[in-house]
Amino acid sequence: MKLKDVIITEANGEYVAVTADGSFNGMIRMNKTAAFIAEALSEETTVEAITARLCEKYEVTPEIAEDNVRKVIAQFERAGLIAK
Amino acid sequence: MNDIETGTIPQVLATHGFIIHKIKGTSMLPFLNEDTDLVRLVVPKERLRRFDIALYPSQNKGFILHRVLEVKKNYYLIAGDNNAYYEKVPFDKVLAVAEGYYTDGTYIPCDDPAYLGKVEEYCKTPVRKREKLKKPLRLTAEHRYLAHLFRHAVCALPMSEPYDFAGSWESLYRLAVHQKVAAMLYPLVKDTDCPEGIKKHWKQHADMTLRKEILFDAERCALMKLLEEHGIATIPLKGILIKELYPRKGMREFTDNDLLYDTAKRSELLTIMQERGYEMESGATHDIFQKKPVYHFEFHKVLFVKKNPLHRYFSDMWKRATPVAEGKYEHRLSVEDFYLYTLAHAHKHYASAGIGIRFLADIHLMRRAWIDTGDADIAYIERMLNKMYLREFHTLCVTCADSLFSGDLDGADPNQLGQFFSGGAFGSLEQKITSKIASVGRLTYLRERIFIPYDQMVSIYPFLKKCPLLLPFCWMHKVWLVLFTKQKRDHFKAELRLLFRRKNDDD
Repeated sequence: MKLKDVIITEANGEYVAVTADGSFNGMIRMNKTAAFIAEALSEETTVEAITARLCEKYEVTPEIAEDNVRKVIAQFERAGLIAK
Repeated sequence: MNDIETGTIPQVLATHGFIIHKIKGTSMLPFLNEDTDLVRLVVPKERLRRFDIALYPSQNKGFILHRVLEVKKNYYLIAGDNNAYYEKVPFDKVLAVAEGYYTDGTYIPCDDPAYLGKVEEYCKTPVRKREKLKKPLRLTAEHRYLAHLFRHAVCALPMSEPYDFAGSWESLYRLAVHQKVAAMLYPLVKDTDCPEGIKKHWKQHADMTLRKEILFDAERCALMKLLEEHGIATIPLKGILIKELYPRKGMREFTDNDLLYDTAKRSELLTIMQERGYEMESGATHDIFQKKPVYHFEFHKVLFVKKNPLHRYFSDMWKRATPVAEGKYEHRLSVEDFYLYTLAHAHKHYASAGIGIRFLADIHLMRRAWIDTGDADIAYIERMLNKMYLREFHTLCVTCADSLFSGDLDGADPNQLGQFFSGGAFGSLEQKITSKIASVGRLTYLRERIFIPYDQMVSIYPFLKKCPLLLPFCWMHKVWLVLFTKQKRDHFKAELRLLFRRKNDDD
């Protein structure tokens, strides 16, 4: 899976994601971890691969990391930002 | 009235043939300033011409210095530039004519083409209509709270003291949106007792503004890279750079990206934009490119049309701009030229439809970044302001910005500050039409809106230069665009409504 044409950027101390083509007419606000997951999703990847990268980056158990990854992906899916 | 309080003028003129005298009164504003300006008067050798400034005796006492607007068979039709009535002055009553005047240490000859261009532009407004254009505004509770929030947002001040707002939140929100400052005010409004429904709209507006800025930035970045690759020189203008002076991202609402570009590369630019999915519309001074969801670029061919007196000051920007790095095609204006151009552009809006408080934030932030720090060559700016006849507008903006951002609203002249609060960010269509009708009349206005003059049409349809006979077909094409483009149709309908409403008012 991967994100569609999404721009992830920092603005005023928070991370936001918007679609360049306007397919999602809104904006997702994210914390640093969610932004890390979103960045990982900018290329073709899997839940497992992102979880592993998250565990490398932060001191977190694989269970908690995977839970976070799935929650962020679910949010992107609800907004229709995941390319099938 | 410019009553010159002396009985010695005729004697001095008779002896020396000229006299230099201080200006008294405000009737010749905006051109002649009381007490500070000096006028050089000479005995006229021939009949005065239109726009000459004549000295003649007052019916009561002293002398009057006003402008000739028409030369009739036996008399001059004369008015003070700041007056809304005419005077008939027989030829033989005129004692002297202004040869030039000193303002801020600069001598302006009365035959200076830039000066005359400015006078001509100013005098397009018929004298009797001048008062109608002055719109004093009483600052309401919404205006005052808007100013309070605006000051805190632009100056990044903490909202430490409670504010007792007794106005309508809905009106405040509408006012903020109209002035294009709603997005920057939301962080200050979200913790107030603003009704939840309005707060929700306000948040959406702020989010959409931030989203738009992010999309603009990303697209512009990609586009500039392509323009560099194709060797297309550009100069970013206005909001693109001014937004960086604001304390937070997403504060300055703007509708488009303005760039000056090298028109020798126009065909390459059109190809690039077409390949990126843009639709193009050619305007008199710029090419407009738009695509969904929000992208809007205006590539300027020139900064002012040739007939604009300011054109000559901004026609050589490529010589004055410098590349952002060696070998790069993207250029930057000096901060002085950027400041002057932004002011001149704002004046264009101010003179037609008016301008809003957002411009006061722009000028305040530019001054804080470049003038107050001593980075800009202030002497150059002052010199150019005099040359371009923008000093008065500049003083107005700086005075109002100082009042607004120091929190001393009541210290400002309400008529002056009211001009920035009375419309939207770019004034109002009503003000624009009022000015235009006053200038050329209702029928001419309507005729020129439908049958756009040839020189303007050439800028929109360049092939007309080779085939002028196609002009009627181009007019038909413009009408077709109005009929079948919702935005243009709605705008034209609004214009018609205002035209007819104004007619009823006048009747």
